[in-house]
Amino acid sequence: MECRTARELLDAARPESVDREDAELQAAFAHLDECDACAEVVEFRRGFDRRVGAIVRQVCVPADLQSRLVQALVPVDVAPQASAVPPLEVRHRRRALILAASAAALLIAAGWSFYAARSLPAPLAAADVLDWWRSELARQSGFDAAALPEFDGSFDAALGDGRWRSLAQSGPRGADIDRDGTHDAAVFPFVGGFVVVVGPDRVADPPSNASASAATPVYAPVPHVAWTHARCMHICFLPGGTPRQMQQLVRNISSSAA
Amino acid sequence: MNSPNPRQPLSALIEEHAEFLYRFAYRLSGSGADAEDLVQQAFLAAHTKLDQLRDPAKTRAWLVTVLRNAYRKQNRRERPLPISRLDSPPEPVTESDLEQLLNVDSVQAALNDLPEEFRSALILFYFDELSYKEIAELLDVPIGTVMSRLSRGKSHLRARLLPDFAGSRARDA
Repeated sequence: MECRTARELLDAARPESVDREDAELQAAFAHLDECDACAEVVEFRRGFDRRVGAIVRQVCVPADLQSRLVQALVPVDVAPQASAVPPLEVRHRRRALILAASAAALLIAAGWSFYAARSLPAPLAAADVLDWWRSELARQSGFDAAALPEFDGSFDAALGDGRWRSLAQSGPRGADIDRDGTHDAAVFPFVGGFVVVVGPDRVADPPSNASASAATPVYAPVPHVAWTHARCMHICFLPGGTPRQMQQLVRNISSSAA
Repeated sequence: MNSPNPRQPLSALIEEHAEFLYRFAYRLSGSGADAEDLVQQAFLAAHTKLDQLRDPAKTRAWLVTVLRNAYRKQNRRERPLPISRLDSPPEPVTESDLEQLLNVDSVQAALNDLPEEFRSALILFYFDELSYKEIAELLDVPIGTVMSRLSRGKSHLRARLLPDFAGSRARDA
């Protein structure tokens, strides 16, 4: 075997690893027994590798890395489950209570519930908006907020905060979150994302924070941050954005307020 | 490498792979902030696309691929050293010289010179002490490609980190 070939092969191999099972490598190792010059070069290179390896491995992993990742990524992973249907046992108990009620009261209550359900739209939570976005994404194979129809103006959907208003590229678009044929939310597209505003009478579980900068951004399954302004639920989505870009956007918004 | 269930919770994935990914990303990007950002993006993708992973034994390789793609996406304008410049280097005479010449900054700078695919192979070689076969699996490239990248990448490191040892080049002929 030529010196150059042997050196190249041995440069990629580890003397202590299974690389020795390779016939070509075995020939390269055998070459070292015959060639003092190559043996010297290879020995030096191993010293170089040991030194570089020791330096490359000097990476200090932040002690709270895992907890920060879990905090940033896991809550939304389990959030939908938190608002899921109550356990079976609880549902049985509730059903038993309902059965114990008088027939007349039950009929009245059922009638009222039926009427209420038909006349009042169901309240919406942030998870519903997220589900809507997911289904739109799947349906359109690439969601474009600007392509949504013009908002029907069923509630005052103005972005209260001037900083968000300056970000918006156009007037509000309409979103039919619950698929009942009417607009439940207004969508304000901007470059790289959009803000969804859900009207005051439709918010099931309003975010407690009064601004994006006070809220904790969530990064999965899509970077977004939710807050409540003028009794409307606002959710800013950054599809395709990175966590850093989400943090940067919120920082920019809050710093421009300062 | 462990074989996690693709349905395992995200928190379990983080626990198993976060440290490895962070170390890899740190040397790939040369920055702690960038490394954390890349790791977050890798797990974000894991959260939404893990169902696409057919072989759970390849979870780590898959995460590395996602992380590298994210890095390349963020660094499209990166201008690493042309591959043609990765030529054979001169080499020093004694190992004690290495102690003086090599430090964290110089090694990271030399790594940063390299195209990403060369850098990733070298990081895995040095950092995790993997064989070239294991590196080929992790990077999902042929073994010959990994060997070539390792040989040429290490050649570049020696040339970059040990530039003043003229006359010793004959030893590398």
